[in-house]
Amino acid sequence: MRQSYPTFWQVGQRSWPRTRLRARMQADFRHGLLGAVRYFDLKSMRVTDQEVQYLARKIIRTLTTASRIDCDSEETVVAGLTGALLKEIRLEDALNEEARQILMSHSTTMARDNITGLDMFRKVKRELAKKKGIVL
Amino acid sequence: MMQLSHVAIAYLKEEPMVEFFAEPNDIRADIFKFIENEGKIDEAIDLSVRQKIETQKRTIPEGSEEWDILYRKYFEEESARRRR
Repeated sequence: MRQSYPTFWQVGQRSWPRTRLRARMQADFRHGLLGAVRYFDLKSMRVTDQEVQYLARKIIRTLTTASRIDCDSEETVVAGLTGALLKEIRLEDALNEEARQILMSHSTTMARDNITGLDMFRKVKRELAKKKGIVL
Repeated sequence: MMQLSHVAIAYLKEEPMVEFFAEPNDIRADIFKFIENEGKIDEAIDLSVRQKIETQKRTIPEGSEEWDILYRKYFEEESARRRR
């Protein structure tokens, strides 16, 4: 039986970490209780602010250790890089959300024409990205 | 991932506190490889955590609260171990 899901403001909170939501969606997907569209949304839920900060720190440390760059204040540069990466990632998140909304409005057509959610999602997302000038 | 490496190098180029000792394009390639590698590590951790849960004495259904707690716990442990 398909289990309950959190409302969107609960996601990322202590009781509903993304790993829990991801696991639940994957389980439901495997049992055929979830369509590909929602499963595919997980991609945008994968990255948290802390993970991006970790990535930024590792990039700066690796580059400075290998003497590829040098920076006066590691903390400032890490914070700036985290912000720049997050901005880009959230841009794609917003695109995913918009694509999902469009997809929801086309669900009847998709069922009639036997188009999978994943195919349609990719198509809509590609078109939106092109329209907005976002590189995927 | 490719786009993220472009974003990263664009930021570093504009940051006055950063001094380059190599060609920006070479550094961008390094960043790309690094991000790609991190993604692979994540996938490997995910696989190993799943296997660890599956080898428990009793079956723990995926998506249950117990599975979620174990997944999170093992993921953090494995991540800390591999990313020390």
